[in-house]
Amino acid sequence: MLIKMPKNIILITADALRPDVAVHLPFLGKLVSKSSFFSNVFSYQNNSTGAFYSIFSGIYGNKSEANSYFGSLNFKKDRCKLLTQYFKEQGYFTLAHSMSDIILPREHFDAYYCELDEEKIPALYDRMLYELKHCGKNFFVHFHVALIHTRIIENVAKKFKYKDKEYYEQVEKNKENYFQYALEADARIQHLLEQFDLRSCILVIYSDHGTTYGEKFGERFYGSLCYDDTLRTFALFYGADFPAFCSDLVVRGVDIMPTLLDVMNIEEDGKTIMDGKSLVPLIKGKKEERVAFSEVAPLQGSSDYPSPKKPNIHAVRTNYWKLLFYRSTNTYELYDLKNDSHEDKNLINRGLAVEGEMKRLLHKHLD
Amino acid sequence: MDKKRYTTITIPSPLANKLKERIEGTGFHSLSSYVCYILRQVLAHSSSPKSGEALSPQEEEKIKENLRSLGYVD
Repeated sequence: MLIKMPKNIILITADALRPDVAVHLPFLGKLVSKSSFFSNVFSYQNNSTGAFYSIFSGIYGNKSEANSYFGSLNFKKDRCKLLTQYFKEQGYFTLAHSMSDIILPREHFDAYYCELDEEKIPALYDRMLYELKHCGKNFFVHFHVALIHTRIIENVAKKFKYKDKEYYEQVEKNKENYFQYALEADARIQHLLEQFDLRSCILVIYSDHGTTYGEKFGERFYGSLCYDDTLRTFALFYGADFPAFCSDLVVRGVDIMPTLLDVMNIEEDGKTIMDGKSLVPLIKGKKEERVAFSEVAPLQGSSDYPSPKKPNIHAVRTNYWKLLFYRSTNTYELYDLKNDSHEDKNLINRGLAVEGEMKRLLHKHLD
Repeated sequence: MDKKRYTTITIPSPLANKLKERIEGTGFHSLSSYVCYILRQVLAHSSSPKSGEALSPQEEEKIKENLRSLGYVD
């Protein structure tokens, strides 16, 4: 039996980075070709809190109650074991940068830095790198590269209200602007990774949620509606355990944590059951359909039906179908994604057999 | 013998009629499934004493302050 040597773990959240853009970036694009890359990772929520808590707990927010920004204070620690705790128990030094502690769970990090000011982040990263170099242990570190978020807030959220038609009429311009923000994020990730000897590391880069360019009226960037562009993310695994591999099968943000535990041979805590499942079997060639569950809790001022404390839009997605349920209006939408990837043609109440099956899958999570 | 999986509950007819009107055009196939849905919602609320709506004013303010600094609310 091979003995697994401990490895350093580097997690990088590329906040709001779309998978279709990530593959075209100068640095990340090249890294993709050397990694196990999943381009259809569906986030539990298209806001950072719900997304992060589900990634770090392996369970959906409807179980952990971290199901909205306000839900972070209700997080039920006894219903899961955090990824950070697993590594801390393995003797790792655990270190994090986050935009805010309502986003990334603070528990079990030896040191945790909140920093939003982009000007101060290079100095913070230098300090974190110094701590990693001198910690005398293997380390588990998280960096939050939030440049896309920051630029979107500056150039979209502060300039356009969610009902400003002008914004939705300039999709091409929004797309070009977004690409510039993504280039900035790419350069920051490159600079950061140049400081590491990646041969002794497992590197995971992912986005917490996606972003829209304004194609759907009512959704300027993310967090208001529940369509694919804001939920679709990616996960890139780089290291000796991960061969060059690409998959466009639907998987989930909650699958990232069990994947890391799997490759590190860390046994899952038997007391809690994760919603996520390791991606290793898929990397080894297994074909498997996974169902992604997502929810949205729109903030005040970002929707006709705001519900900042509790999700009011719910969805399930398979490789080819998606069902949405709007709690505030008690209505459903059904999309055939194979033929309608932009979710334009609602097929609900057309007598399709798949409708009942998708409702069963959705209500399994809601009931 | 298996336990009965369903039971009968009576509600006033005018209430039932109003509920029937509400489910027209929705995904609910019957009045029973809609009533089950409503009751589950009631139970879910009451079994979760510290739901998002039960945060203290200080906790709410902490989140709002964070949301302002993140740029999501004014």
